[in-house]
Amino acid sequence: MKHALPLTLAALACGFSLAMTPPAAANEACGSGEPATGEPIKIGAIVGQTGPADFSSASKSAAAFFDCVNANGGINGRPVEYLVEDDAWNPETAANAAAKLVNDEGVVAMAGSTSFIECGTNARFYADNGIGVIAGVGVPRECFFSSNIAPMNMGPRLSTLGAAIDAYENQGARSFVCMAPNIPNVGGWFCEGLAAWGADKGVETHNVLHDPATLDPTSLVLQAMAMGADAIIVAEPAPAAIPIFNAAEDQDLREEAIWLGPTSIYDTAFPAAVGDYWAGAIKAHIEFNTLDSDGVDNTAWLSIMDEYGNASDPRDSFSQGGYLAAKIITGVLRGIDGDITRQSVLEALQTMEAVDSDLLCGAWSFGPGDRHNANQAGRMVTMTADGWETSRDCFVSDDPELADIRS
Amino acid sequence: MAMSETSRTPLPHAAPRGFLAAAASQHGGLITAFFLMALIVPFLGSYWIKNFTSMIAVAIAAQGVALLHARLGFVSLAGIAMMGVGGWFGLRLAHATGLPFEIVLVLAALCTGAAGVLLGLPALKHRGLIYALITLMFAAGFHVVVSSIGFPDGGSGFWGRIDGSAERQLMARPAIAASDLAYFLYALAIAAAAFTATHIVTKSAVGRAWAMIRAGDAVAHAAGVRIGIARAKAFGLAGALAGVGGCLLAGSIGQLDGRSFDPVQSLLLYGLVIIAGPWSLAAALIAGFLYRMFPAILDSWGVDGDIAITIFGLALIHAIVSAPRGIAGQLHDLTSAIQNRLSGVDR
Amino acid sequence: MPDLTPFLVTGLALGSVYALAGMGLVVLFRATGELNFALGAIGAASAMTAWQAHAWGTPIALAALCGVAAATAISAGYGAFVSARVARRSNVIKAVATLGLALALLGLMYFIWGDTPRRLRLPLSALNTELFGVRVTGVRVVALALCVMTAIGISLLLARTRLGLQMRALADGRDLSALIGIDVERVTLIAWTATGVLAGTIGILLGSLVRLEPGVLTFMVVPSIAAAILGQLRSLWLTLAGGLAIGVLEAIATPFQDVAPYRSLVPFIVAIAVLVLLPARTFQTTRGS
Repeated sequence: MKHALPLTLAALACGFSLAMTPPAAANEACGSGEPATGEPIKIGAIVGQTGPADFSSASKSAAAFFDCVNANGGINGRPVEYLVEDDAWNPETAANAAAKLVNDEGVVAMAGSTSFIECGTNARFYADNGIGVIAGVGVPRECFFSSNIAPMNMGPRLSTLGAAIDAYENQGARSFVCMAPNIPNVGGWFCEGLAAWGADKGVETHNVLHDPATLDPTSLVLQAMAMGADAIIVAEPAPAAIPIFNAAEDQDLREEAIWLGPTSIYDTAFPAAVGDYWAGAIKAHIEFNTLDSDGVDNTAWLSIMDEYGNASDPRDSFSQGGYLAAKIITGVLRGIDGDITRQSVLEALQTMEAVDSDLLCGAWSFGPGDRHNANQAGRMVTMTADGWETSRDCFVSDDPELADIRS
Repeated sequence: MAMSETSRTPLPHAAPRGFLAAAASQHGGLITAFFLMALIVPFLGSYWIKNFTSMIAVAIAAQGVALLHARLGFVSLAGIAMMGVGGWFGLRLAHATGLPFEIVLVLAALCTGAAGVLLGLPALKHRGLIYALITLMFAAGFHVVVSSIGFPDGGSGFWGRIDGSAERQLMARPAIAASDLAYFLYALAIAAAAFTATHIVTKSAVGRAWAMIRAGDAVAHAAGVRIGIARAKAFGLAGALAGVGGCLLAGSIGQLDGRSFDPVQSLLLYGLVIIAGPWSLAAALIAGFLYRMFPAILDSWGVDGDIAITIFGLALIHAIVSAPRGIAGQLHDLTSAIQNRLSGVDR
Repeated sequence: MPDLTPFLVTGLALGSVYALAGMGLVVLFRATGELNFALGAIGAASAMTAWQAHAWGTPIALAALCGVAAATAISAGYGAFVSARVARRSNVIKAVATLGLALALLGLMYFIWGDTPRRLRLPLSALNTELFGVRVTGVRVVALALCVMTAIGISLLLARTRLGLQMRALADGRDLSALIGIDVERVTLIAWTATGVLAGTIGILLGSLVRLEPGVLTFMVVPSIAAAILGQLRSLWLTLAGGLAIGVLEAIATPFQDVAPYRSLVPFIVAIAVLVLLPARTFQTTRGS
C-alpha cells in the first residue's frame, strides 16, 4: 500500500485507533532518557518502493521506531540516522543504492530492507564489506542464503509450506497445487519447499508457474483445477492474487478446492478486494502475529506508528517486520561496549542473545552461520467478509531445506 | 516517407584538415566531455561513480542504435534488449571459461554482433515502422525468456543457472580495474575506444557505402556497393557495441537481472537517442545520460519515484516537440556560435 | 493429450483483449500514423477512475461512464496539444511521444492509487453461461461482442462517412489532405477523441476481466501490438482475427507443463513469424508526411 487515498487512510486510522493504547507504551519499547544529541549512528535500508508493488512499509515503521529511540535516549546518547533508498525494483539501482549507503554514507548496518531483488544483487557486496543486514521482510531465496543477511520473517517458501501443512493436518488435503510467479529464485523456490516436504509425507504436489504480468488468470485457474488437487495455494503478492481469485469466482470454484495463501495476501484491503464470495473460504499463513493482536510488541508497534509515523504509513505485516528489525538492531547497538563500527555491529549481531517477541512464534537471533532463517513458525488466519481471524496458533513449517539451520 | 528524421539530417561536413584534427574539431565537445568525466567523476563518491559506469555502458549500446538510425535509416527498438544479449553472452562466457575480462568482452561483442546481424535479416524485407516493430517484438520476447530463466550466474547447462544448488557467482572484473573507480575509468576508456572505432568505420569505405545506401538502393547499386553485406556490417557493428555495453554493465554489477530489460526500456532508449540527435557521435553519450542519470538525479533530489516517472514522460514529450534537431544539434549550434564569437567570425 | 476445449474458450477471452487493444491501435494509426503506446495507460486511467468513482458511492454504470469520460479527456488533450506538433516526425518518433504520455500517466496513477489490492467488478460478471465446461461471464461476452461491433462500426465509419474519407486521406498524406481543404487538426482531434472512448471502454473491460493494476494495464499494449501487426496496422478484421488467434494459441499452451511458463511469448513469436514470412508489400502502409 502506498500513497493510498486520504479517505481510505482515515478509515484505516480510525479502525486501528480502537485497538490503541495510550502513547506511554511507545516510549517504553524504545528506551528511556533524554533526546539523543551526540554524533549520529548511520543505519541504512533499501526498499522496493517505485514499481509493481510498494515494499517501503518496513522502512517506514523502522523510521518511526528510530525516531522514538532518538527521542528517548538514543543509542547511549547518540541518535540513529536512518537512510532509506528506493531500488525501484531494478537490480542496477539496488547495487548503486548499496554503494551509496555503504561506501558514501558509511552506514554501520542495514535494518528494515524489503525488496524483491536487493538481496540477490547485494548479498556479496554486504559480505565483502562486513555489513550486517536485518531485512524487515525477505522475499527471494537470496535473502535467506547469505552470510550477512538475516530476515525477520520466515520467507514466502516457509509461509507457502505452512499453509499446506495446516490444510494437510486439519482439512485432510493430500494433494496440492502451488501457483507462483515464474521468477528465478522466487516462484520456483517457493514451490520447491512444498514439493520437498510433500515427497517426505507422500503427498502429491504440482506447480503452476506463470508470467507475473499474465493477462490470462482464467487459464491458470483451469490448469490448476485440471491437476485435480485438494488444495490450491496462491503464492502471489496480494495484487496478483486478486485476479486469480476473481477468475476462480467466475468459474465458481470456491467449493472445488481448499484455497490458501502465504502471508502476502494477509492484507487489510484484501477481503474487500476479493469480495464476499470468498468470506470464510480463504486461509492464509502469517509470518508475524495478527495486526490487531494485543501483545506488548504489537501494541507498542501501533502506538509508535501513531506517535512517530505518518498517518499514511501502512499498518501491515511488512510494517511489523520493520518494527522488529529496528527494535532488535537498537538492542544490539545499545549492548556494544566501545566503538560502534561495521565490525563491532556485525560481531554483536552474530553473537546476540535470542530475542522473544509476541509478534514471533519463537525466539529470533541473527546467528553466526552462512545463512539465516531464524523465524520458522507462523499462524493461520481465515478471511472473513471484512477482515481476518486467527484459526491456528504457532506451528513450525518443517521444510527439509532447513536441516542445516536446525542442526 | 516514414523515415523523415534521417532524410533531413545533414551528413557530417567533410574534413579539410588532417583526420585527427578534423575529429577533434568535429567532436570537440564529446572529447571534452570524456575528459571532464575522467577528472570529475572520481570525486563524486561511490554512488555517482557506479551510476556513471552504468551510463557509459548504456551510451555504448546507444551508439549502435544511433548508428543504425543515422547511417542506414533503420530503427532498432531492441537497444536495451541487445545489451541484455551482450550481458548474457558475457556472463555465460565468463562463468564457463574463466577467461580474462578483456577476452570475454571481445568474444561477447563478437557473439552479440552475430546476433545483431541475425536481427538485421528481416531488414532485407522490411523498413521503417515495420522493421522497428520486429525489433520491438524481439525485445519483448527476450524479456519474457530472460526474466523467467534468469541470466547465467555460474551454473552448468546451456542457461548456466545455479538456482539454489550453490552460491551465485559474480562476473570477475578486469584484473586492473577491480575497484568501482578503476572500473569506471576502464569503462570510460572502452567507451572512448568504441566511439573512436565507430567514427573511423563511418569515415571508411564501409561508411561511404552506408551513405550510398541511405541515398537510395539504386544509387548504391550503381556505385557497386554490395548492399546486403554493407548493411550486415552495420547491424553487426551495432550488435557488437550493444555487446560491449552489456558486458561492461554485467562486469559493473557482477550479474544481471531480466527485469532491467523490458521492451519499453528499449523503446525509451531509441526515443532518447532521437532526442539527443543521432547524427552526432555525442548523441549516444547524451542518450545514456538521460536514460540513467536523469532518474538518479531526480532521486537524489528526493523526488518521489512515481512522480519521477511522470516527469520523465512529460520531459520526453516536451523534448520531442521542442527539439526536432536533437540536443546534440542544439549543443553543436551553441558551441559553433561560441567558437565563431571567439575567432571573430560573424555568420 | 490433455483436453484443450476449455482453453479454447479462455483463449477467446484472452484473444478479445488483444483484439480490442489491437483495433484501438489500428484505428488511430490509420487516421494519424501514430502507434499509440499510451492506449493501455489511457485505458488504465479509465478503469482506475471508474473504480474510484464507484468507491465513492457512484453507481457502477455511472462510474464506468466517468472512467470513459476521463480517458476521452486525456486522449483528446493529447490530440489537441501534442499530436499536431509531432505530426511531421517519423512514425516511430510519434510512437515514442505516446510512450511519454504512457509513462506520465503510469507514474501519476501509481502515485495516486498505489498498489493496494482492488478490483473492478461489473454486474455483468454475475451473468454467465457454460461452454465446454468453462463458465463464460457476461463481461467476456460483451468484450467479444464489442470486438465485432468495433470492427463493423469503424469499418462503416471509414468507408461510408465523410469523416472516414478525411481520415483515410489524412493517413495517406497530411500535406496533401490540408491542400485539398481538409481541416487536418480537426480530424486528428476527432481521431484521438474516438480513440479515447475506445481505450476507456477497453480499460474498464480489461480492469474487470484481467486485473485492475495500472502497470499491467499500461503494458498490455505491447503484446497487443502483435495483433495490430497481424492486421498489418490497417485491417480491423485481420486484427480481430489475429488477436483472437494469438489468444487461443497462448491459452492452448497452458496444459503443456514444459512450455506453459513461457506462453506469454506467443504474441511476439507469431508477430515476428508473420512479418518475416509474409511478403513485404503486404505491409506498405506507412506514408506519413
